[in-house]
Amino acid sequence: MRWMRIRPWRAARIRSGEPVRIPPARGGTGPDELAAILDRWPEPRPPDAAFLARLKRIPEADAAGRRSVGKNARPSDGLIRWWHDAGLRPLILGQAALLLVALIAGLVIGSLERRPVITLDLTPLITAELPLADGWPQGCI
Amino acid sequence: MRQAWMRRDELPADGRTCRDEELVAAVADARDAAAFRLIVDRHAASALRLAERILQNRADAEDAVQEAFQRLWRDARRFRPERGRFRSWFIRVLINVCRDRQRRLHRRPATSLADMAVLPVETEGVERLDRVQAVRQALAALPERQRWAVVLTYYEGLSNCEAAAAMGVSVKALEALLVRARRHLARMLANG
Repeated sequence: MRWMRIRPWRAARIRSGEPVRIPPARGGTGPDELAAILDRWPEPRPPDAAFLARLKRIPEADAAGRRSVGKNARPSDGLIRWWHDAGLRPLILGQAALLLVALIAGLVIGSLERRPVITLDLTPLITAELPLADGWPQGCI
Repeated sequence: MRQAWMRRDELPADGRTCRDEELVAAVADARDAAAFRLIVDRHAASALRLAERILQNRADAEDAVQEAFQRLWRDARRFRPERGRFRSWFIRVLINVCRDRQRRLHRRPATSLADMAVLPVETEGVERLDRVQAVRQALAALPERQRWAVVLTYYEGLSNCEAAAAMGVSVKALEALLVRARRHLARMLANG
């Protein structure tokens, strides 16, 4: 990063007491030139008296608002105000998105082909014809 | 923890000598409308200037500043004087309001006719208007955090520490934002 490259240079100048001057960017506009360009944007108008008066009436407007809410209060108003003030929408939307991703992942994994179950069928061994000519073979059933 | 000197009954009759932090404490503890009006007197102009530089629209800026002061009136208790100056905290509130508004409006900053009217077009001609427009457009084209960094440090004259506190980033992160913003601006305005 650029500031990491210029920092040792600046630090050395500061230690030596020499006035610091930021070098112009290569092939670009120098800080002084840039400041001159930014200065072209005039300062916005100051606030007018009506706007300031509106701001100063905020306490009264807030009190009046609370009184009117008290008079015509609907059961949902408190919930709406709480929802707005708490700013929980991003949290809940995030959780819903997480649940959706988990659900989709579960469906995808669940739809994968199941592994075949390995079973050992012993029937042929039991029902096989055993050579019984010489009697029961040793070590067999 | 709030200190005893911040209580309303100890505010001087003429609150103009009070520090911002004392006035906010009076608003938080005693819902003091007079203290609130003094804060408006002190900070409304700079807040409006800041919001207008960012939103680039007078009407949106006025709405944002009004919402920020409403939040101050409702939630003054959230200000903690031990964590920093009031101005940094209030700028942070304003930044959040402006971000919310921009997200809600889903549009780039627009230029209003009222803004155009203040430019000295008659005296200096169309060329100056073009140059001003170029600066506005270049700033509007910056990423949001870089734009805030430039406006706070260059136009509002905040120190890097204050601007970093207001934006909720470290000083080094702010410096990196400024370097990137300067590079972007230099590229965009080199031929302006």
